[in-house]
Amino acid sequence: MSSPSNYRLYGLCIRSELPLTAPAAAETAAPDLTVLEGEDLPASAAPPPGEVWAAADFGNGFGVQLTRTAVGWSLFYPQTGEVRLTADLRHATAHALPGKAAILPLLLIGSVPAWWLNLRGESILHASAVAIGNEALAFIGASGMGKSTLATLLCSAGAGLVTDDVLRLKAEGDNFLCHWGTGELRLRPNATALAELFPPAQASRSSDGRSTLLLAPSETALPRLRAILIPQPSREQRELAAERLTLVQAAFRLNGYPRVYGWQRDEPRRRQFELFARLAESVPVFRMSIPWGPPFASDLPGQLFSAVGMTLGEIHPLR
Amino acid sequence: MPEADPTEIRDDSTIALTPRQISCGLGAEAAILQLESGKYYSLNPVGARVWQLLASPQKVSALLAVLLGEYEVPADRCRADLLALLQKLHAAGLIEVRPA
Repeated sequence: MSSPSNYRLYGLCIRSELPLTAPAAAETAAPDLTVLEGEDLPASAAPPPGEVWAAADFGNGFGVQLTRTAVGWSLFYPQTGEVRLTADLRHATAHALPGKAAILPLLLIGSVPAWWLNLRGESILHASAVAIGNEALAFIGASGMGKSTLATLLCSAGAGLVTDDVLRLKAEGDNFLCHWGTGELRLRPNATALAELFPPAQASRSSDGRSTLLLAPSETALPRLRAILIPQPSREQRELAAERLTLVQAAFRLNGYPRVYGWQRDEPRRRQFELFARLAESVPVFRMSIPWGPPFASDLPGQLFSAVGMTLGEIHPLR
Repeated sequence: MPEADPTEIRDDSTIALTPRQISCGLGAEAAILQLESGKYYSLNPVGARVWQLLASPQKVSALLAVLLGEYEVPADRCRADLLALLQKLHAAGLIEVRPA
C-alpha cells in the first residue's frame, strides 16, 4: 500500500492510496473524495445486498452494478472488483478481484468518478473535448466513433486537451463550462500511429495495454462549451460535411450517449433528461461526416473548427 | 350488443397524461421520455401544442375546439389527425383515456 497522494481531476481533489494517472494537487488541498485500497475480493465475489439503482452492460463482457447498501453505495464490476462509497460520498474503498489490482486505477479516473458525480447530482457527458483559448469543442458518440482519435489529431494541431471520456460541466448562466480531465489520451489499437505526432516522452502505455499520451494539463480558466460534435468517420467521403441538429434531434442524440446508464430509478433519469434538454438549447450540436484516415488531410483541424464556428487561434495544419 | 371498448378514444373521452413520463418543450417541438420503457418520443409543433394542453386532463372535443381555433384546417381532417396522435400517445403509454 502506498502513501496517499492528492490528484486534480474534473475540478475535484481526489486523495488516493492507489496511484492515479492524473495531475497532482497540493498536498494541503482538502479532498472531495478519499480513496483507500481495500483487501482483494475472492474470485466468487458477488454484488452486495441492497437496492439496485443501476445495472449497465457494456456489451463486451464488462459491466457495472450500482447498489444502495445499508452503509452507503457499491459499484460492483464483475470483471474487475468493487468500489464501496460511504453514504456521504466522501470516502471510497477499492477492492480488486484476484489479479485485477492493476485495472482499478483506470476505473478510479473514469467510471467511478462518473457514477460518483452523478450521485452528487452533477452534469457530465460521455465525451472527449479540446479547447482553443477559452472555447471548447466536445465529441460525443458510441465507442469506436473516433472521439479520442479526433481529440488526438486536434491536440497535435495546437488545441489543448480538456478531457478524454468524462466531461464534467458547470452551468453558468446560459453557458456550460468544461472542467479539465486527466490530461491523458487513450488511443485505440488502430490509432496508435497517432502517438508519433507527439514527442516520445509523452507516449506511454496504460495498465490495460492501451497506448496513451500524457499531455500537459491546462491551468487556465474553464473553457466555455462552444459546440458538440457527433463524428461519423467515413473512408469514402472526400469532403467534411457538417449538419446542425434541431433542438429535439440534439436532445435525443445526447440522451443516446450517456456516460452512465442502466438506471433503475426515475430521479437520475429525470436529471439526465433535463440536463440534455438544457444543453441542446444552449450549445449547438452538429453531426459531422469526416473523411477518415490515416492518412488524415492536413487541413482537417482548420476545416473542423471552422465548420462549428470556432476561431482557429494557434491551430496549425497536421504534420 | 357488444360492450364499448373503454380505451376507445371518442369526442367525449377525457385524456390525461400518465405519471410515468417526463417531457420538455424544445423550441416549438417537444421531447418526451417514457420512464417505464425508457423510450424517447418527439412531437412536432402541433403535437407539442396538444401535449401542452394536456397539462390538465381534457376532453377530446375541447382539444379539437382549441386546435380549430388556432389552425386553419378542415374540421374533419383536424379531428382525424388529433385522434391518430392520441392513439399513438396511448399506445406509447404516455396518456390515459377515460371514458365519458
